[in-house]
Amino acid sequence: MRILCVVCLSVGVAWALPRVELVVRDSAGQPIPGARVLLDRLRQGYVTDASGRVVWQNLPAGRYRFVVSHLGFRTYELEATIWRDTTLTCVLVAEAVALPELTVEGERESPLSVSSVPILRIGPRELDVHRGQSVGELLWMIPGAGSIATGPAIAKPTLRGMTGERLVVLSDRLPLQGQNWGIEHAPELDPLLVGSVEVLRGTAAVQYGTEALAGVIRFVPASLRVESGLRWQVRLEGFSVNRQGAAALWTEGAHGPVGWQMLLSARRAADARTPHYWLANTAFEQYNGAATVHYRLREHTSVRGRLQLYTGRLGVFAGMHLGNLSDLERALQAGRPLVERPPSYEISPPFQRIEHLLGELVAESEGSSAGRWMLLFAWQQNRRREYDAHRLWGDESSGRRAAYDVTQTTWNMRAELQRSWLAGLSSLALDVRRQGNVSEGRDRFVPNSLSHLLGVGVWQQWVWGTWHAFVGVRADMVWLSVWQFRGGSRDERPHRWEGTALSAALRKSWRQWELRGSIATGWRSPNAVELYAHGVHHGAAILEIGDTTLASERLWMGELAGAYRARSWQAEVTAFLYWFPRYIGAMPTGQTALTIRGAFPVFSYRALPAFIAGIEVQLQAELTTWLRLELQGASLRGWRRDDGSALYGIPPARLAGRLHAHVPSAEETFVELGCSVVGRAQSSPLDFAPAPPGYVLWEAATGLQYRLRAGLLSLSVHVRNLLNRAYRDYMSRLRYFAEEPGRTLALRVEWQW
Amino acid sequence: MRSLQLQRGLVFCLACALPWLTGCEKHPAHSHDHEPQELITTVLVHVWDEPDSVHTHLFAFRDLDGPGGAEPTVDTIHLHSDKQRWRLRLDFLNEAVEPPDTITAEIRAKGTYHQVFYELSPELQSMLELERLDVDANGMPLGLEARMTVRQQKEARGYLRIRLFHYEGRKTLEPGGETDVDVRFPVHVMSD
Repeated sequence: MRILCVVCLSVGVAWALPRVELVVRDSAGQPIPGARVLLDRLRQGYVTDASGRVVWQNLPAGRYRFVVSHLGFRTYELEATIWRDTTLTCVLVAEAVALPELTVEGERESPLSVSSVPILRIGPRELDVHRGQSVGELLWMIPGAGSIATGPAIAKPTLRGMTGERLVVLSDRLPLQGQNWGIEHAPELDPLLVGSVEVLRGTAAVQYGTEALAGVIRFVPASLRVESGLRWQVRLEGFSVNRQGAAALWTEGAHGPVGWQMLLSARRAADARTPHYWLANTAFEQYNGAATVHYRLREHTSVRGRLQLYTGRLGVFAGMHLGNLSDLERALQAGRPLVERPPSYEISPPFQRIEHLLGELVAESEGSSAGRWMLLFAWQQNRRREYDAHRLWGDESSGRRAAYDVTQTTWNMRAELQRSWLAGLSSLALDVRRQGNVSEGRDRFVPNSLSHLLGVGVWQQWVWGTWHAFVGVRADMVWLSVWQFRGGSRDERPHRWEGTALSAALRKSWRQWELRGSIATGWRSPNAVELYAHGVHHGAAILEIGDTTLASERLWMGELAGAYRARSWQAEVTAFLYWFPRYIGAMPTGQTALTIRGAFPVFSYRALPAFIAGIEVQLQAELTTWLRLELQGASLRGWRRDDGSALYGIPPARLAGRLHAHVPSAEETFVELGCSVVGRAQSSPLDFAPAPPGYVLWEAATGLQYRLRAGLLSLSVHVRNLLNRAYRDYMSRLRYFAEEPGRTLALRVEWQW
Repeated sequence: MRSLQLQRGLVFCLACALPWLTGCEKHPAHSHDHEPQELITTVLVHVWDEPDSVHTHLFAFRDLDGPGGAEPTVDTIHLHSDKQRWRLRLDFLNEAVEPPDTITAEIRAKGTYHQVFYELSPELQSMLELERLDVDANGMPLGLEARMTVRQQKEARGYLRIRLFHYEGRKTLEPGGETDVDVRFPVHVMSD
């Protein structure tokens, strides 16, 4: 029973390392509860829980043999070298059925597990219940993570107050390359495509390059099936706050060495409702498709191809579009939206139209004598069109023309190699990237540009008993060419930057305690917007001017963390400090520019010294065999060193708790109550209005699962903002103009067979 | 065996690299698009003495290169205070294209979505009075034409603010929607 308690702890956000999870399933993909697992090195036996899992927290590094047996199935033996976070899936074959030899679904070790810093995870079960309307909402359970929202459908992930080109967002192994510069540019990914979420907090520039200054967020697709057969899943979702409906059809199968998976999803929503009014023109629609084919060349070597399409039309709140500063002042003074209308599914200007097509080929080998290697080639094309509320004068006959129309095409190549060397594990990563931007809209806020990146990182890890050490170095070079219109012709302006990143970490485990510390430095080159922006940002009513002489951004980070893990509870505290000798941002110049639309404050991109510091806490306690308490919180501060003023966009302090009760033998049947307390953010001189006051939100959820002869039926209900509180959130751009959406009842039905 | 693996690896790499080498996207240096265009670059104020409409004076606010470039050029509106009633007519132009595009007709055609507001600086409010003359299809003020009445015969300096609003929903008598134009003309009232 105590083991069961420990197993239950793994359901939520987990951080223990090395942590090993063994999942036992039958050939139909169903979990096998009660299977016996013998771990020879520990000379101990375990039994899988109701979800067919056994979890070992803090398993000492080494090579283990797992013997899995269950009545009616062939006994299976698996050997694996455990030195970091690992998930093993074991498929047992029925004795009486003649099927191909049982297979192991490639050890799904997280690719983020490349340092001493633990990976925070939100597993499939958690996501199924709390999945929101956008991928940004998936992150609220991770301390330090969150999102910047521009309405219900647009949420850009943030980590420790950083986003865009300071944060790597992975779709499986591939960095998602949307147009990262704008805070209203969210990742082009439907939450229904996400199987789980992993977050690596802290600078990971050595492993993931110049953009991993804040860390890495990885949206992991559902793992591929490798046993023969066909499986289907239908998922339906409904959200009351905006009359939203979403549907997804998912199928997967395997035949011999070939496995495949396909997903289609659609989502349509009307205008969202706050406690007092409707948010005009926040309707949206999204359509997604993904197909993956997996070919197993040998026992540990495979090739995988993936094609993914996202297309969406996202309405932008009509009360948010500004002609000039007077419009903004009028909106701020009004107290409620200046534009209101009856709710509708109609999407009218201003809106965003986005298409993102992604194709990748991955070849990888795990556990061979040559070590582990991976080769990834990918192509992504992101076209974003943004339509202003105002039509183009004199353009009636040719129809509407997008104010902003940028197509970004990115080629990625990444090679990774890992092998034992120097009494530890050595890793090498090579990244090559080519990225082009072509601007065809009415406004040319972003110039045409072409960039190339070449980066090489090497790092080494050692495990000596209870000590774990990490050290790594990386060098990157970035070339950028920008074309600008001048006098009817295009001028090319070349730029080049190079820089290095270093990282070192040390972790020590001692009984139930763990202490770790790390230091890192990284850099990033300024992007084309920071260099060449020149125009009015109508969402903010400012005139932004780039600086072509900007030097690259540099960062130093120090982090210290301590954790205590008892058998039925665990807690962790992390403190960190980021020091930017050069922090690039749009800063006010104190000047105004006179235009035909009135006067606009002038902001120019500058590199200034700045700090970001914070603390994150996390607690999980298994109060009884059926009741669990989870708490997580984060507090962050960011300020400029030269004048001490607060940085813009640093999230307010937040504490979230959840009480989760479930049937001891079936965790899928549960009831939970949650509460989030959010403080007031720092006021920044870059802001138009003071930070809104803090707020408290309650939420509740319940779910159950039926095992039918024809398959598995899951139902869940989740209510956010239970008390329908009217509030404004600092991390939402709606806050200047309107309240956040009110009570949201989310109903989910999932049927798999 | 090892050689076979190597060959497979090379074929895979080449297959993947081929699209890269051929380059199937638009090249940033070869965009076929035209130079960006401003929406409204120029506001013209036609002013004439109402009884004597033969002589029309023209004052302009021009910002041909858009926000952030060269400073806009603005003419000062000169008025004689001995004339009691002056008429004003506005023209909105896009002079960044050749030939210049007149936008006034479009504003008038979509008059139910537009409204022009005039605002005098405090020092002029006691001696000048502004009245909008034209209306849209619903009988609401449009403001492309106006009358300025001189109440006092004395010299004064101030400014005239002209704002053009675009309403997304219902047009009201108050400024609202999105600001399309917001310009200030210096005004010099001469006492002769």
